[in-house]
Parts: sequence; C-alpha cells; structure tokens
Amino acid sequence: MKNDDALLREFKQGNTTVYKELIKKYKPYVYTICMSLIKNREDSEEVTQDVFVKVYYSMNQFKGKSSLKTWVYKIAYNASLSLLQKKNKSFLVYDDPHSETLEDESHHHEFLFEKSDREIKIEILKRSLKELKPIETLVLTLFYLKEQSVNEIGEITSLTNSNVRVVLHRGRNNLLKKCNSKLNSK
Amino acid sequence: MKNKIDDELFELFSEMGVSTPKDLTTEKILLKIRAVEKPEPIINPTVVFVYLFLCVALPTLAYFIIKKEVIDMKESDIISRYINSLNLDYSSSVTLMVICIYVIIFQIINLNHSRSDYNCS
Repeated sequence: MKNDDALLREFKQGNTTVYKELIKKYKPYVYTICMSLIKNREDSEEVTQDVFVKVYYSMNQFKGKSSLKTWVYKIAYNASLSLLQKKNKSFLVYDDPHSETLEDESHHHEFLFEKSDREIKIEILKRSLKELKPIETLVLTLFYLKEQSVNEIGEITSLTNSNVRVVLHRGRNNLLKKCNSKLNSK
Repeated sequence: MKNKIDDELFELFSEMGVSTPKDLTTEKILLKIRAVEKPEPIINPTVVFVYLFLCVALPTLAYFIIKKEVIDMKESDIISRYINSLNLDYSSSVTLMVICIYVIIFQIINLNHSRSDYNCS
C-alpha cells in the first residue's frame, strides 16, 4: 500500500482512483472514531461515509500543516460532533478537566495483571469503553489503539495538551475501574 | 507502575484491534461520492405543476379553441362557454399550441440528455 504522501501527490495530479486505497486504509479507524463518540452503529456508518465524501472534495485544499492521518481524524471528529449536536445529544465534553482532583490510579491495575483469559479481558475492555464518556473513549482509543501522541490528539479534538493529559488520566482511571468491577462480578 | 499499565493497555488495545461492519464497503463510499458529484435531479412539485400545465392543460385548451373556430360547438357545452369567456382567437390559440409543443419537445430532449449522462457514469 502506498504511503500518505504518494497517495496525496497522485490524487492532486488527478489520479482519483488512488482514493480507493485511502478509503481502505483509513475506513476502520474513521469508523472507530465515529463509533467511540456516537456509540451507535447506523449513525457511525453514515458519518463515516460522509467523512470520506468530505475528505474527497477537500483533498486538493489540504496544505499539509498536519499529517494526512490527523487531518482525516479531525474531520471524523467534527462530523461526529455535528451529528450529536443535530440530535441534541450533549456530547461533551469534559466538564472542566481540572474540576476534580486527579485520583491515583495505581490501585486499579488489578484488571490488567490478573491472569485471566485474554479473550474475556478484551471483551470486558470493549464493554467498559462503551460505558465511558464519549471524549474519554475517543482519547483512550486514539492514544492506545492508534498510538497518536498527546499533541496529535490535541490537534484532532482542539483540546490543549494539558487537557488531553487530564482526560487521558481520568479516562484510564474510569476504564480500569469499570473493567475491575466487571472482572470481579464474573 | 504507570509504564507497565500503559504497556499492558497498548497490548490489549492492539489485540482488540479495529473492525468495520460488513455493510460499510469501499464501493458504497465511492458510490456516495459519485452521487454527490452527479446528484439526481430533485423533483420540485411547483415545477411539476408548471410543466403539467404547459404540457397538458394549455394544449387541451388550445385544441378546443382551434376546434371551436373550425366546427362550431354547442352553446350549452361547458368548455365552449369557458373558451368564449377567455376571448382568445384562432391565431393566439395556434401560438399557444406552438409554445406548448416546443416545451414538450424541449423536455423530451432534456430528459434523454440527462439519462445518457447518467449511463456514462
């Protein structure tokens, strides 16, 4: 598969068939971003399609200030937010990220180091992620799954780096709490 | 400890991976892009009404006016009375008929053109 620069160059030269490759490459990630915010399959599918339509028509204006990946994710983030606003769902955000003192998370690690079945752990992780606040699910997904840096997450979500860190810390705490309680109830 | 937690989470998330529903195919997305490029004509009820008026009502009216000029219709005929009230003569009826026929032909050409466009894509 071609790298992003090559894809972008060929697309700008008028070879729009390379766009198929871009869709194949980013479709799972864009869908995961939409799903982590919208938490509804049908809507996430619809928004994912709209994101690729938008990216297709904006590619020629893309100036390369961020990576193509970050730019596509940002479009996915904004499209998901627009849908939530249309449906009057309070997405967000993060009440002031500094409003609570940050809890020490070290006592929630039981879930991670418990020697239980890997598949069960992953199932628990998936279910717990769905129960988190959308912004926490998104930040954790971007950080741990897509290995985006705090800077890149800030660019995508328009949060400051320190806010991203706070949301990440709080999200991790909440995730591990939920995972632990699910593991203990099994 | 924090690094260990992070490492374990990175591993779990990567094992969890990403998945997309089967319905969300690349072809479906490409079709949507094409649909935006060449949107299907939106049928506006006002336009439909105007066209129906031009293509059906006016030619019918014009036909009766012409017919009335050639063969006198009965006085009791409702259409005849209505036409009389319009005070349209033979030449204006023919003009009206020509305009209507022109609109119909124009529409047929236009429809064929947009169909061939759609087939090319």
